[in-house]
Amino acid sequence: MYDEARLLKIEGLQINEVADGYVVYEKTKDRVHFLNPVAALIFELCDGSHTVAEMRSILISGYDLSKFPDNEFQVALETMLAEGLIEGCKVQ
Amino acid sequence: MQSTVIRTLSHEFAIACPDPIASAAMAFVRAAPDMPERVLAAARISLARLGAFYSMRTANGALFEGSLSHIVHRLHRFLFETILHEAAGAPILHAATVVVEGARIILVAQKAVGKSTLTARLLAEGFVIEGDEHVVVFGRSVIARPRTMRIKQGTIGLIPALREIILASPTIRDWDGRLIYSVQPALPGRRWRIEQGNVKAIVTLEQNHGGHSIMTRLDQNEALRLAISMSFLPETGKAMAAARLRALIQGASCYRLALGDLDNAVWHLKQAAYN
Repeated sequence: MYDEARLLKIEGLQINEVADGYVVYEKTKDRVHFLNPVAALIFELCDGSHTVAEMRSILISGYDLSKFPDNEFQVALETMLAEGLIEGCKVQ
Repeated sequence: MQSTVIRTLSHEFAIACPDPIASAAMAFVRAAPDMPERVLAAARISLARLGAFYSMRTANGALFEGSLSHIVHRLHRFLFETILHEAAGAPILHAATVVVEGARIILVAQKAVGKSTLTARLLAEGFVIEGDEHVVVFGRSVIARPRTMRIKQGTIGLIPALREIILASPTIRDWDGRLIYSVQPALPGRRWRIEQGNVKAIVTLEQNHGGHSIMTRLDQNEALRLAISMSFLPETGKAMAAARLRALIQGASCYRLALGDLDNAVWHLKQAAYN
């Protein structure tokens, strides 16, 4: 995922907050996803207003990270894209 | 005219049976546990002879006609649909609910894993059995669906302590002609009782027939995945229903039980209750 990309939650998802993250239902594939707190935060940042680079910066400062787990971050985004939870979007 | 009572989460259905043959068939479906915290609305299901067949009209006006086995089949479906409606968006897990030393444990399993056999053995061991088939999940709190235990003919030999109780219970025959017993989950002198309450442990059963029973801890994410795969989620509000399953799992200890010999299975479940 390139740094300038912007992502947006897919419309029509059923999203429910639980004590340790989000439970999201995606109708097309009839699949339920559990997002842990970090994945839920990444998902929330997919609002079209943040680039991938900005999301990374927010996570680094939010969690006070000295070493950012970029591989896991990329996997999270790609998984959410593949599962139809988010999609690429133009600058808003 | 004999009457059969069937309770759901919010209803008490009374079926007036027109003859002894119908009474015997309806006895299989009878489910009248004590449900002290529930307010049950009384409703009637009418059953009448129709030549060689029977006619059943449910409280919502649906009409079914056919042989008694067809009527029993349709009644099962009607009762399950009633429970789905009463659950109002709550997921329904395919699971038994047992209580030991005040700790509620739910046993989640696919069909043919041995859940009913294990539940029958637990009854013989003095566990309180609330239900053997479905659990309605409201979050950390659950309630068992009122339904008797269904014991297959071949299971009787595995639970010798319950032999007399099982043999005295109402029966139907499956498609292969084998008897299935409808056994009230309470030992003689005790009453079948269902209460809504929190769950101490969720145990997912896996088949290990012929081997030892081994229980291991289960990661919460894996427990959620398995629970979703063994649940009825409502067509609308699936995320909310799955969130309730997540809440249930968060509030309980989760285990995987490879179900082999029943002695070890009972021992493991007691440990889960005491820990």
